[in-house]
Amino acid sequence: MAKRILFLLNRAPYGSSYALEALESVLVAALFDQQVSVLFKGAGLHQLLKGQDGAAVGQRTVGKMLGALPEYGVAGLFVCAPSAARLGLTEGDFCLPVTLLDHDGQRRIINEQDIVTG
Amino acid sequence: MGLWGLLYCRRHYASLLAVVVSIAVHGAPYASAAARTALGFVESALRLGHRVHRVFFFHDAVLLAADSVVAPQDEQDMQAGWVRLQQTQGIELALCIANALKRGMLDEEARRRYGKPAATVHAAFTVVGLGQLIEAMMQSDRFVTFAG
Amino acid sequence: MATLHVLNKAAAWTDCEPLLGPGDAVLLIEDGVYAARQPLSVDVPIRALDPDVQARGLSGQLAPNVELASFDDFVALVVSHDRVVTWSQ
Repeated sequence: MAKRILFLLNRAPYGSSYALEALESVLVAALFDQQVSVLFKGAGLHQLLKGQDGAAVGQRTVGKMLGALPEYGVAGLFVCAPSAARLGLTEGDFCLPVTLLDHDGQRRIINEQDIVTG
Repeated sequence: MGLWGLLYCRRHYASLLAVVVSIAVHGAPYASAAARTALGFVESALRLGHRVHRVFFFHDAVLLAADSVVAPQDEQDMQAGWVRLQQTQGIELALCIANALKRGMLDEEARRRYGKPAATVHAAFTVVGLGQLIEAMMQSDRFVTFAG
Repeated sequence: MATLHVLNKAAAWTDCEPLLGPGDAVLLIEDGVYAARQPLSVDVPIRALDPDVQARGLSGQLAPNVELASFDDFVALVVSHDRVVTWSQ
């Protein structure tokens, strides 16, 4: 039976390989037909910024990889609304459609999961 | 019995039931305490009668498997603790292949395929695809991540 | 549906605290135990991993609502909650 898996991503891309490697595990979870959601918090919101070009630092472009998530069947793409407010970001800044969640919404999503990981 | 008593019983009996646990270790050895804390957790889980399906080393945590580490004499040898668990209890210690290769962590098969001078992964660890991380999640009642 | 929140950095408290709900519990490990040097006024049980508390010289200095936990307690907490969220950074 498919598990409900939430990936909580809170690291900025490019400063380390962390974001990219975590994203690879998100894609594989989706390939395994799990019920995958992603919640971006804090510096992790920077993964969603438009206009990224990883080639400039010899890496893959995280924003472009994220764009594939809906095709992979990743149903939930959530962004921490308080993080967005703190960073001065709005939906128009993001490279794919996301759902902004306040703290109550995030608690609700977490409580629906079998597994939460990074 | 009041509500709190019932809740207490639910918690109490849950802690007595054996479950299947898998864990992911994310933090690098020495740059973080992840591998040390995870080892204490797994040793307790086994002692309490739970089954540990897989330990999955991800990100810089794959460096724990370096075959040539020499632990300082006045510190706990963390790798040795994990190796002992694998040898005595058959716990699967899995390295993410994508994370391992780029950090120079090669098993014999990878050494041959990429024409490198030496295999670098301790024999107690296996190098596996990311699918095994997801399989561990699917096969386990609980999944715990030990972050860096 | 209760969640165990594991914090390995004190600063992670600001991320974790607003998401705590009924039935949840918090376990402070590694550098997360420093969070318990301040009062943590929430309605959920808070534990701190004893070896990490001892190593850092914090025995007897934790907020009064924080109880020590052994590794066996850590395992029991994981088993008695539906899921574990690890908060880092």
